[in-house]
Amino acid sequence: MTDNDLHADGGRASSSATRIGVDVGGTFTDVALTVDDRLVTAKVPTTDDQHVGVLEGISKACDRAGIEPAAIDEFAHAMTVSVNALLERGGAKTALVTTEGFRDVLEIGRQNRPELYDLEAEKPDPLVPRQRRFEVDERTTPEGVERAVDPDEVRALAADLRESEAEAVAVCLLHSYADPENERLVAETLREELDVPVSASHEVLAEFREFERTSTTAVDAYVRPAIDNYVGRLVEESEDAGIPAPRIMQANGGITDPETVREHAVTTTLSGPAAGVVGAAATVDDADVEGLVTFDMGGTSSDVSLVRDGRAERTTDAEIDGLPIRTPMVDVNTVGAGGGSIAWVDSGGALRVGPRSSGAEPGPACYGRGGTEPTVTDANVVLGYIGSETALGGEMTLDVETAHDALERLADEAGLESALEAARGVYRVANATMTRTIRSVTVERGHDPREFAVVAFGGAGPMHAAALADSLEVDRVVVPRPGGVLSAFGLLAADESYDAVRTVGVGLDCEARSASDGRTGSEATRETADSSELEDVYDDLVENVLADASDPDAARVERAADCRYAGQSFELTVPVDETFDADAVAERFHAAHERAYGYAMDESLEVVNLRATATIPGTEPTVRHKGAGDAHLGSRNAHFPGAGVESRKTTVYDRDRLASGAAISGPAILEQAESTTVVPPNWGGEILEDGTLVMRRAADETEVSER
Amino acid sequence: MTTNSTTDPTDADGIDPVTLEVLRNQLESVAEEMGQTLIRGAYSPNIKERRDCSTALFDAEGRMIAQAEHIPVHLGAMPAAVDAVREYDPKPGDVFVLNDPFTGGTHLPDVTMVSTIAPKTEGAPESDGTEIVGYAVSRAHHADVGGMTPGSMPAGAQEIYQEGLRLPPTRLVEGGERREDVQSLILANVRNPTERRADLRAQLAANERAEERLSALFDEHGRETVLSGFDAVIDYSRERIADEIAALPDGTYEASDVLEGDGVTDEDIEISVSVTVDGETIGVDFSGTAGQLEGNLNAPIAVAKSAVYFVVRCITDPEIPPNHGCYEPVSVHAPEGTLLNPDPPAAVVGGNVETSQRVTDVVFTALAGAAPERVPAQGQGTMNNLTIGARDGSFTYYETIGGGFGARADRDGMDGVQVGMTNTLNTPIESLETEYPLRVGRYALRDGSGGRGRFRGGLGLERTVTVEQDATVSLLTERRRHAPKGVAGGENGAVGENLIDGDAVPAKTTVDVAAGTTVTVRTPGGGGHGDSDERDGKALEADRSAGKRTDSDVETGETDR
Repeated sequence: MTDNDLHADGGRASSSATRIGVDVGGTFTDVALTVDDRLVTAKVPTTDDQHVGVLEGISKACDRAGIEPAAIDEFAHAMTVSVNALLERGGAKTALVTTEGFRDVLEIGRQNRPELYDLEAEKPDPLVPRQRRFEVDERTTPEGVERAVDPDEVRALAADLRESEAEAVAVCLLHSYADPENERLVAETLREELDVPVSASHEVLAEFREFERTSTTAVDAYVRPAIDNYVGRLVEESEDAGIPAPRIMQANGGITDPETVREHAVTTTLSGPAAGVVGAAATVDDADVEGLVTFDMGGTSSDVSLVRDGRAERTTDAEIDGLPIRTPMVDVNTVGAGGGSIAWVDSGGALRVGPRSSGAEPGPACYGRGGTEPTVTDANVVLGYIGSETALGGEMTLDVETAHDALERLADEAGLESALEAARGVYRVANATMTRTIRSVTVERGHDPREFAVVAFGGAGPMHAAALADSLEVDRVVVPRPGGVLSAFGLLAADESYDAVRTVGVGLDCEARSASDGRTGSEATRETADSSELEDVYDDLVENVLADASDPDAARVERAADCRYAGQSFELTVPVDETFDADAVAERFHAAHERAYGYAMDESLEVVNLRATATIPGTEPTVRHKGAGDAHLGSRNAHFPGAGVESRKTTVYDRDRLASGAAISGPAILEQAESTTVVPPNWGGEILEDGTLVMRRAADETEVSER
Repeated sequence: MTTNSTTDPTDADGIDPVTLEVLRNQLESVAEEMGQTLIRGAYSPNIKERRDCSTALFDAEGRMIAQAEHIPVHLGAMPAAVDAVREYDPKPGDVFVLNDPFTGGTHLPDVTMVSTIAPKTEGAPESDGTEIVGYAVSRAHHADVGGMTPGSMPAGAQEIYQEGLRLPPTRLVEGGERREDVQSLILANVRNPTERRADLRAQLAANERAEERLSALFDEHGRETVLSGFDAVIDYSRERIADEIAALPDGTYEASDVLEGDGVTDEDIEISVSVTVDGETIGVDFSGTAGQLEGNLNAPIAVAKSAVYFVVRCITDPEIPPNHGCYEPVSVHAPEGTLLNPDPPAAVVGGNVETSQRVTDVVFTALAGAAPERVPAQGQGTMNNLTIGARDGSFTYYETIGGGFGARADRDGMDGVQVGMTNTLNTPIESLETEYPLRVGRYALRDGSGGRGRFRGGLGLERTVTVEQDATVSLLTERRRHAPKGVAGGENGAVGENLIDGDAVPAKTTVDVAAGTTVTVRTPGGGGHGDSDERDGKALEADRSAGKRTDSDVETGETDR
């Protein structure tokens, strides 16, 4: 929790301000509004022109809160404009300029095929077709410019680009991360000559590996006009409505002003899922666990991320639809099982769940909109987790019979006794596939899932979380109160954050590390780091990140270095102090290597990239949850894993009415407008002051024989 | 074998459709976690970045239950390793290490570790912890295992003794006690002992993970359910693959093709296959293939098996989980003393990389007789191995280069990708120019190299590398005179070309060059599919405007075998 007073002068809203977060998802636009210490949420359908739904959502939430939109002090926003442009290949007609001989790098990629055994597989189409990929005669090496660009050639190129009717241009020359001189000249000349945006790779991502840098730069150019257009329009409409200009979520989990994202469009991809993880990190105390596994189960898929030390874990190795994007992003892993995933029996006689989904239309059979295939949601209906009376916030009635029929047909096909058996099976199989992903995400990063807590959100997440925790041997599950709109809530809690990187590629001159023992590769050709040169690079990077910050004086600047053992191609990022101390960096690297991979080695080190991050801490909204009246809604029969075939009488509560401090013992079901939580018989729960539900496994009830 | 009945909820193993799917996920998850543990802990870039490694779980009879493989050449090689270890009377607490191509290995850099699994579980019989219920296996390509050149992939080897340290199944851990003497012996024979120690430790950690996880599964489901689950997942894969094989028309399908010399001889070397589809089984017989070679293109039988399994997986549903059940209906025979089943002390290091590619080509070609719509035209059929090293040993650069994928029955072949038994990444130009005294002048799609057809073969690549100091250049390539074939009237792809300062050199070349010399590798294009007159006008125009097809396409090599 940050100290609000620190930022009172920095122009940041205090927690008592009226703040709104709006997250546009594929189906719904979610809104979280805080007024004083009240939290109001709303959901409206996403519209094709996303700003229409955004403004509708804002007015719906304001109506519920009983305030005028003009009373809003701060507006934070995440949207899917850029990711949609990529997925639908609907971005700008983009041109690419490369070093002569290398225009195909973007198309060749890393020369691997996408699937090992699938003869029908296709590589993703390059964002820039060959006709619009142009070359310039120049050469830069790791040491610097070897052959300068001819300005006349660039002006001639500008004419070709104009003729190609390009709407955006990406420039990526070899080794421009080491010396951007040629690339800068090309980009500046093109900016003078052309009326379209020009993205230069050393500005987007000054990092070595030409394909990944080219791809990232091409994505930036490709989505830039769409982002510029959308953000520009939303700023205007907000102004008309008397709302402050939106601050925009970036995929790195940090928030920034609209002008900055218009210049750095690539940072807006996948910002919605990032906001959800930030929301989980903000609402859940992880002091006594190794970290958090966030589990967001939606209609078609589930997202899994890790939070450590209160921060969402980030990756610089992300891909969208096969296109690498190397700017830092919150690391979101998707598994193809959601509430709408369809269950079926395959030719080998196994009961499978997904990857096919019933989608928003017709939706699961129980929606009664024409769906007949059994989905995970239908199984949850048959198991009694979702009831006919109060389901889905009362905005939709459930057709229990249709769900039952769908599961009955599945039972026949699978040779199972009843619809109930089929439903139990679907629940178990869906959980098994999600458990597999969670195990993989944690183990791959060197963690033991047992030392984590699970944070469940999304419409279906809290219905499955305790069962997942059982098989992961996790003892605690946390369900934030705004679980159905956690991304929108996360927008309110996000820090402002900016990243910059530059590849330096030098040996680390530190003590007590012996020379290598006759390895292949030639670290002999590497110069060792001159710390004053590294300081110069850091100065540039810091200047760069502060230039975007809304209040440079309030920003916390962190410096880091990506290091590796000489001859390896895997880097680890370690923090760097205010002065570059090679021995300290080496020490941290060895410790980080030990932590990540289980050992450290007596080998020479290389500093590959330098990084700087500027962060202005966000103000976490203070929400006090009161609860009201009788939370007891009644009871119904529900079925739990391993608890025998007979159903258990299960108390149903209105989650929002439960007062803080309320204790719940399983079996119980907590219903809420956007989601339903299942507390199995061997679990208990407690409502915290802000309305968060913490569930713990009871030590004594160990009747779980199968999961 | 039981056929699935829609009225019987459980199969012969007493496992219902739900438990089957849950256990399948959990057992595959064990293999995956082993793989992640291995990749995290390894040092060799081959393992860590290129993922040239595999992990698997076997039952007590040596049948594979689940595998996490990252490259196809390990598909058939893991069972051979377990079979070899089982000849050595394994006991609980034993961990074997091996790489001998003639006892369970494929080529020496691939080091395999096989651990016995004998978990102790709560309330289990007294025999618990003493009974082997399965094996954990990890296989990884180590950066060096000794021999005549750094990297242990010597181009000129004619005996296996030159290729590195040879390990028949050897106990690295005996009854739970680490044998430091064995480890010292291994480390004394390799160039980077510190790195190898890390790689071996990573493999050991991966295998240990299997026992830990399996024992948790015993606790969760009960020992008997899990052991029945082993049978159930094998039956499951067998059933699915058998259905697909049964759908192929019975018959015997033949094909042959050649390797273009082995560096000792420049003569063509024949590989012949006869594939018999009979009901739910496939028999693959390599009789008629050339005898074993003086050079290093010999391939142990496990390589041929891997190639056959690869093809079978490709033409059936690739989603079928790879385990013993997939391979049981497929038998592979190659006469002893031949290219595909050599006797010691044959050199074998090239068998994995080039011979395996040609084996996939002939098996694909034969099976095209049974499933013409599923088999693409031939792809580039080579890995284009390029090695450039300083004569003083100060650097060694090794790389394989992608090329054209064969055209499919309903779409063009992919341009510039790895085909067949490999799928490793390229070395970024910015990385190699920083690490080595080399300069790349061009890396591009090779226009016009895809075989014409209703659907076009994928384009090959061109990579041009200039050496900045005196060096030895070694090329181990194929499809330089026999082009990748088109099918159904499609034309052949372009043959590859190797040039040194503009002059053509043979498919297998090792030559000393002076600073400033430029090596150009042009990789083969894929064959076309169908008559080129039937090519869609838009596709033709798209190719023309992208420059992927030229009006005077390069020579596509001979048109007949």
